[in-house]
Amino acid sequence: MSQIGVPTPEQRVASTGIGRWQTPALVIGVIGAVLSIIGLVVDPLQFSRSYLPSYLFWFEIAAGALTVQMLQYITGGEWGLMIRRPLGAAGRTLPWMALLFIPVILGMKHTYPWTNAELVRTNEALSKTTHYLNPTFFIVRAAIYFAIMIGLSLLLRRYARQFSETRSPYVDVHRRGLSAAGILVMVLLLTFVSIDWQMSLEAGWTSTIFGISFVVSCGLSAFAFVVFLLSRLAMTRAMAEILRPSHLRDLGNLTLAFIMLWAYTSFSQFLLVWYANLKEEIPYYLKREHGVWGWIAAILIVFHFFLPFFMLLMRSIKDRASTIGVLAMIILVMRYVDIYWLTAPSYYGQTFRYSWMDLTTLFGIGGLWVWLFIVQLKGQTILPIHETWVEEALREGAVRHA
Amino acid sequence: MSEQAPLHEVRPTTQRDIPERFIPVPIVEKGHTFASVTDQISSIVLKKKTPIGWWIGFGITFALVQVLMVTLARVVFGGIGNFGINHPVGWGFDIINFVWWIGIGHAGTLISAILLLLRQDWRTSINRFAEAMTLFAVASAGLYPLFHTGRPWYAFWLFPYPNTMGLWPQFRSPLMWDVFAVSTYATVSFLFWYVGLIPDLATLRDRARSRIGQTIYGMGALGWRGSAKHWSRYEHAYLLLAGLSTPLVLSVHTIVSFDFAVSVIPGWHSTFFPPYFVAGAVFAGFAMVLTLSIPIRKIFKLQDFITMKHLENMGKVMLATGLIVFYAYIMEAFFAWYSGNVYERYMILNRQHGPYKHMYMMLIICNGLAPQMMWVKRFRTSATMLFITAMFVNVGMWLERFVIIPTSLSRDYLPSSWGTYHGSPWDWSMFVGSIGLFLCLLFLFLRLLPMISIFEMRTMLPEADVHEAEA
Repeated sequence: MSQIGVPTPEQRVASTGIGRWQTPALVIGVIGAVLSIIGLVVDPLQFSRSYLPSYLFWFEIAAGALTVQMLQYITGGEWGLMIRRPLGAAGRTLPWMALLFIPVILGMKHTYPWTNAELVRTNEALSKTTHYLNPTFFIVRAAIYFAIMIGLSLLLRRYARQFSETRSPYVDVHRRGLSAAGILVMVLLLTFVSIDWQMSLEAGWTSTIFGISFVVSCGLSAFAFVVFLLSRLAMTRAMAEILRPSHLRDLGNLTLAFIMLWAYTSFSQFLLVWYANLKEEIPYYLKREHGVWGWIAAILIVFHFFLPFFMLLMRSIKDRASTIGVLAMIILVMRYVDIYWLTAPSYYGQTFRYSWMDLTTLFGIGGLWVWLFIVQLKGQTILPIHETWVEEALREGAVRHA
Repeated sequence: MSEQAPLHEVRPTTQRDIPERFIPVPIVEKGHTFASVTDQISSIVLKKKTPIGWWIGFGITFALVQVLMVTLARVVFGGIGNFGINHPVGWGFDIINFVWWIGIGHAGTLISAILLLLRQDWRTSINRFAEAMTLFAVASAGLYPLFHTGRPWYAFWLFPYPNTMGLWPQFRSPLMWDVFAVSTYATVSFLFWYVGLIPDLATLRDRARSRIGQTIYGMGALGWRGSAKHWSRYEHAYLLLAGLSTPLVLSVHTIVSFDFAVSVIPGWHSTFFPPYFVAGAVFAGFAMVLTLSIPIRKIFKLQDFITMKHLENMGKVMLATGLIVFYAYIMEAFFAWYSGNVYERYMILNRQHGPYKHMYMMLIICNGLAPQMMWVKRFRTSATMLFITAMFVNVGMWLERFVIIPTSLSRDYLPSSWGTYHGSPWDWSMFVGSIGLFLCLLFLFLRLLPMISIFEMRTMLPEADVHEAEA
């Protein structure tokens, strides 16, 4: 029991078989990366503009996973046990996400208006915030964000190891204390991430709810991702006897809560900007309701809110791995659409554009990320079997189930 | 550790003896039976002589209600010019106190509805009086917009009904949305509270000695006989009402926040207002529940039912929501600077250094710093510290509305239209009077109705815990 989660031979046989997705993910990632690099050589401007939304999509899952992992340490509950390992693995991809952030920094001058000295001179709002929005400080801040996030995920990992060795309730108390403080830190950190990486794409535009909206989006992405993963694993030998409909239902309800929060924050922002109709704020939505962008907005309303909302109200959908898996996939796709809709009009204006590089970067980063995720997840049991009361919870579950 | 030990008590550990701090605090103290629970709670209403403390408290608060009456008479006959409002500050104490009271009411709905749906058992001993508190807070809140209209006898014009005057409300105004939100909130909260009371009213009916008690509680119990069908209908109705109340927790204060946020006034127009107001409401509400429940459990000797676990949990909720509110203060300041907008930047400087700077400073102390004490378990489990923190929050939440409302209104875009604002003596007398009304109603409630749900408390006892296998 010295090594955390080292499976016994018996458990090794009852594997989730997740390793078989590893090579395909790497292949997709490498192909995507190679094509994207070709794109970078051919058209560096387009590459930078395509890279940012693709990066943000995968970043949201990783950062959201770290936050949700801490949330489940505080709240407890069996739903947390089912997803703790995948969340931890996703959180531990953050060091590589820091590496993958380098292209964003290199392409800064193509994406962020405040890197344009001429524009900064003429724009009143930008000229007053140069202390904050300048390339050096932007990089320093990003480094601080990643250092904190990586530190938190490593600390959580260390506590997990300590706990499996000592099983001391004090470790659990410390871990919960770290998680409570960690969530606080993550909410502030992700707020500033959203300001730096996404909001500052619009010169002079601000919205105070933007940070919370981003935090909620991260949580939603993480939930959708782990629910999708569980739905794929539900039929494997490792999970089939453990995962019960009630687990999926709890996770479905939490996803529903995040869907509602996403709609609440997004709608609040829209309503208040639209109603006040201020010249500093309204152009943001005028762009995004024009032409194809307007259709995308309508798609988001239907498929990012109404469809998952009504489907997640139904037990018959929540309880079954096959149906909730499809829904989680829809939510993930919509997360990307939402990020693209929030990001791309900042540089394209009213004209809709979608480049082949948007796809290659999305799959390039995605393939590599999934590969890294599986590397982190593989070689340990899918459930934290050495954690407090897990064995009892499972035994009890099996008895009730029989 | 035997094989048969219930699941929730099994905590495998290499340490043989589990330290005391890891043993869960029970929701009901040990040694109670179905009969003792019923006796203790119902006797407060039925048997016991009215304590002298109750008479003193009721007397003082009833006197304050008379202060309210005099104020209202003055306002009705003399007009709302008696208040301190002026140009440019057209909204003063009335809206501050309205928002303050509505916010306080939110804890009741959250405890009764959301915690029920989340299966949080600890809500059971505090939900009844928290719901009562909601009703009385909404009643106190409702007075302000009603009398601020200046002609309260025409208040029904706010509702859209076909009339010969060709009068129709302005549906684009968030103030109209308030009318619907608050009236729905009051109605659903009352129904929820009353439906929950029915089985207990029947208990009181059956136990009352006096004829008048039997008649009045009997009428209230609506013929409850406790049959299986009654219980089944009851459970359905209660869950349904919980489902209806849940969105109200969010919607009411969201709409209250729209009153300000749809405008273009710096300090009011902020997209973060909806979640910030909702969190502030829950924050204020839990502070008020703590303010009331700490003395009540001591005076009526209810420490067995309202245990430290309840108080600690409420302290935790207060900390969490307080942090959201504090986050909002930080974001307001950051975005005022980040926007580069001269009016936004002035707004925050005016709060910090302008004529109301002391209010802002006290706000940060009360709402930002004081709740941080709740991080420490020793403070969270001390009734005195919880009470002190809750009092800070009560004051802080009132200051928050003051900082938002007159500070922004008194100095907006044009310096030529700037002014100053302070409450008139009638503003203060109405505020004090509404606190009197709230507490007076609460005293009546404590004496006339069971303040803790008797039948739900019985389900908390170990003997009510029938395992599936045994059933």
